[in-house]
Amino acid sequence: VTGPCLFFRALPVFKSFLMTAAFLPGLALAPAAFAIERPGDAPGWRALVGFRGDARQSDVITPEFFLAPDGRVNPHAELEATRVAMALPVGARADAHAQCRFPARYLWLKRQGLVDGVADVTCPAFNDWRGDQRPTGASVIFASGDLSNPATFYGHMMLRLTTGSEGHDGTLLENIINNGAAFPPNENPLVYVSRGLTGQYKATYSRTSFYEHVHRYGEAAMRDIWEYKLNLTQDQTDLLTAHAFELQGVYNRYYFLRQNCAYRIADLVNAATGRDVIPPDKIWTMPGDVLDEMSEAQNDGVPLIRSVERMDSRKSRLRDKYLNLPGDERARVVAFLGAPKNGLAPAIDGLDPKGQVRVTETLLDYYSIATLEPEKASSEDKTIRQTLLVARMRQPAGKGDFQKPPTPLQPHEGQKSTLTMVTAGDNSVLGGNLQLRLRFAYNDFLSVTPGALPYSELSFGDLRFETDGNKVTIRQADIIRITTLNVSQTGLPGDGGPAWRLRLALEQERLDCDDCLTAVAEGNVGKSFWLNRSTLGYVLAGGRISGPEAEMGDLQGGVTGGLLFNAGRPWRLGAEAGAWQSLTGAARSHLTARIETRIAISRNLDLAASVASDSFAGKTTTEVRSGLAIYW
Amino acid sequence: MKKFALLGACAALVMSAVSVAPVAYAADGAQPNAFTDCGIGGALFPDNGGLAAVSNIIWDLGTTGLSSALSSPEQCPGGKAKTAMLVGKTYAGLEADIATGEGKYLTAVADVMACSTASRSAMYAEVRNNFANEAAKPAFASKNTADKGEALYLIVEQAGVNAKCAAI
Repeated sequence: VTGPCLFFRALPVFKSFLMTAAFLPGLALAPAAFAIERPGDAPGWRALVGFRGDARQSDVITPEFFLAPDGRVNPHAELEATRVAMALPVGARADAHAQCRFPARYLWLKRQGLVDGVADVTCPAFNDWRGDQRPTGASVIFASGDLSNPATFYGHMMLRLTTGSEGHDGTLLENIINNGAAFPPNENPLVYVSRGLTGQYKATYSRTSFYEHVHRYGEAAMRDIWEYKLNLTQDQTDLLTAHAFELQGVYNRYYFLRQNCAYRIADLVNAATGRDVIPPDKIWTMPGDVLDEMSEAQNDGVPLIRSVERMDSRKSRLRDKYLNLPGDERARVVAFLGAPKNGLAPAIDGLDPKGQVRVTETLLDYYSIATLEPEKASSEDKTIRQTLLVARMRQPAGKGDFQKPPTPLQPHEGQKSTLTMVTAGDNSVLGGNLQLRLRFAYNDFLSVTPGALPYSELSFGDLRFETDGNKVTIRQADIIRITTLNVSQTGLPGDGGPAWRLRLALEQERLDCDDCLTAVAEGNVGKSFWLNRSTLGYVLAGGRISGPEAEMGDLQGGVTGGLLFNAGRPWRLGAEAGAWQSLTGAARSHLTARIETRIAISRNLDLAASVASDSFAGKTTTEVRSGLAIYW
Repeated sequence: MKKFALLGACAALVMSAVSVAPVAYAADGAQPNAFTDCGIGGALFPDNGGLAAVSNIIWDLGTTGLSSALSSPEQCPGGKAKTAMLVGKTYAGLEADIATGEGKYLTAVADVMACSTASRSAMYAEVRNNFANEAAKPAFASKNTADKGEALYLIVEQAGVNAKCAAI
């Protein structure tokens, strides 16, 4: 920057300097010794005023957040204006003072020696917001994904400010910081989508009690919550707390795929630690990717993540309790559910007090889930639940003596969400080829993703390109593929639900051609079931719209059956077969079958192999593939 | 062409599926009315205005899309109101804890009422016993959650008074 540009850029700094000189002739506000030539360039300062990386403009769009007229594009001017404001006398309302509005900025300037001699202002609003106890740490909270609503597919991320000492669980009364888009109630879904994708919503941070979220996710939505406890120094916690406060009611632009909740929580972590935990190699930000990044990050020479804990949803608690009951007690639970009108006595008679508690608690959890939506629950179930509740309260107090379930994989211990697969194939009609598969996100049946809904797949942007050495063709491009098997995890009546699949794709209509690309919209519903402890089966029936000029016609109906073996483990296998019949035009049928296996070499590297077969108009084609799957 | 357009629209719908947690629509700068939100729970539960008028608490239960700005503790100062909010918003979890006799929600209730460590066991036992009596009433099963919450709150409040908890 030279000449006039430099002059105009320097103007606000000069103006701030004059203001400082006029108001505070006695204070030592001369630039302090600083490792970086201009303190406004310091990453710590830039993070506090919303400049990400080398950005030339702050992410914050609330004008009042900036004290310098050009503060949004000039972090140096903002720093100088802030220094001046920090030293101004306190007016009638202390909370309006810069120190109280921007306590993190003040803390940072103080630590850099840039406000030496400035007296601290007591800030009632900040102290009240922070709570009686000064936070001593923080955790990133991840509410696992759920396929009941597109807004919850990838989970949600928040930040908890903890007040407990090391080893203490803290309390549900602690504060939690949330970031979300602000939109009017009853927003039309299509408007909501289009505005969200194009950044037409604003988002802000809000604070509430931790219990609200724990209860909402764990008891009402029945989604497990993961707590990633951060290894922060007290100084970093203080800065994080103060920064979270000064961002309340301050708006950023919201983009669903990038500047979303995970991005903003990562922003807070970055401001406190200087560690950017947003994956640098992706154009989207998903909670799972941020957790991954955090799990590999260091903070002041120690891992950024201190420990990870799961807060079980009620559904997970029921599963763990039931599956870990002794066999006789499990049978008693099943017998009760078969004839609840017989009352609790036959189910617990003859058991020792601990056994009685285990059976009663398991049944109580079962009926609590069954009556979660009281307006939909039968009065019979409500009455049974009442009986169980009273019975449990008449039994000895204390947690049931349940066997501890196996420790589950933590979300960051799974495979990363983007898949690149390179395979060599041999097609009985087309010959040899190489295939590059790129699945942008998030998981399929054969990937290991403990933070996602079990036995589900949520793939968007799953592209497969092939070359035979002469040309490159699209074999398949799934724009979106969602399947949830909704399997019963306990085998108890009412557990689980319908399986379903939705798919929008471009694909070669058959295995024996590479010039038969067609668009497909497909929907299926069905049921899944356990064949044994490691093998899951499913059957789906559905319809498909294809075009243009699909040989199978515009509309088809079909049945799909599949097996999943060892899902989530190092060696897993999936098989699926489908029979489709055209419903318009000439009667044609299309049979497909595919078996695929992946074997883990390391956490993010699999050996992959598959065999596919396809039968159309009396002609059968087979294809064998093998290669590597890399998750990143 | 129309099919492709339809596919595109559907793809956009699904690709928007990164977590979107709604917060208050505060673009107009409107602030929640503390009296309305804390004093007239009927605004939130229109079929239960009597309860709101009497007990001066929110019975949101945490299951609606109510924004956090409308339900923040600072809108309802005071130990009783905070306790009532906690009971109302975590009713299902708290009920499960009371059934067991311990748990994080029960601990939070004791924390919010500022009960001494020494008094907690007795307080928990009293709540458990009295709530068992309440739950044993024939009408309990058909009560709505707001009514159950109110009954539980009154039991908790009385136990807090008996335990000389500082904030109740």
